[in-house]
Amino acid sequence: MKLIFFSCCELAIQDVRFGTMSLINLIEEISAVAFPIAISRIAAVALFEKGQDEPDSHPVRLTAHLNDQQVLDLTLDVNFQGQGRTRMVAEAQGMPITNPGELIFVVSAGETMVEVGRWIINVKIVGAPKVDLFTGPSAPVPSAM
Amino acid sequence: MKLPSWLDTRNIEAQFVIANTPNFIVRRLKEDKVPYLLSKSMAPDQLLKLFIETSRMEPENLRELVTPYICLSALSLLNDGKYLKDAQTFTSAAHHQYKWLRAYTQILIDTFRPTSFVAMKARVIDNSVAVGTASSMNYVSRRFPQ
Repeated sequence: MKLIFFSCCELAIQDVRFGTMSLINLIEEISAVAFPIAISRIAAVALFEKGQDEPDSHPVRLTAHLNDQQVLDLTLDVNFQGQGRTRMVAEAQGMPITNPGELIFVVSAGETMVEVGRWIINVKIVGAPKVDLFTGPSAPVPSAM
Repeated sequence: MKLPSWLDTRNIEAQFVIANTPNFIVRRLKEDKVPYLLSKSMAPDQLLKLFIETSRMEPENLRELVTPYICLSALSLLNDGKYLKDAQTFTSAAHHQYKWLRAYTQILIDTFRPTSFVAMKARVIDNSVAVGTASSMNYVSRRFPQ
């Protein structure tokens, strides 16, 4: 089994009638003024392909690390149901982001759970207040009466 | 066992009359809301049972003629493809009036796209807090040790 595609987005929609998948708002960067924050919705979407002689069911492991912290560890079986390709959608309703850095989603598969794909989200701090030790008053200080 | 009476199949019947290939009617039924409504109103086992029973009977009108096709389209909307494969085994026992049933089922099976859905729950092992000053960037709160 091999990974064709792996990505993280805000919303993954499957058209029930036609079976098509749409990924809305790919998440490749998260910016915040202060931490911790929470991502309200995130979905990890993967597309796998298998050979004809391979079994239908394969164990897949999905992990996520924020810098050195492991925030997610999930093992599931993806079932090809007789088809050559299958999709995996892992959804979370809220994910806490405690500090800036790199949020890395890793997909592992096979008997030894070898990494087959990763998606890196840069978590950065923006608009950080700076402490200026040499600021002076912008207007003349009124003299005391 | 019959199709629920509240389902309006007139549009499908009209499409079926002018259909020249099984693929045409597959596409038309995908665009129609009836298979979706049927899949939401009946359990998969009931849908399969409805398909088996209606496909064996001789159709007396257009509504009965399109019923097995609607059942198959409704089964194809399920996330589990096994119901569609189960239905395929019964197409050989179908009445000869349903001439496209086998090809119709095969198209649905070939175009079926399996998807595994799972809910992930994120956890915080280390509750770290970072704010915008250089000194506090390195500050790690240990208020909630694991």
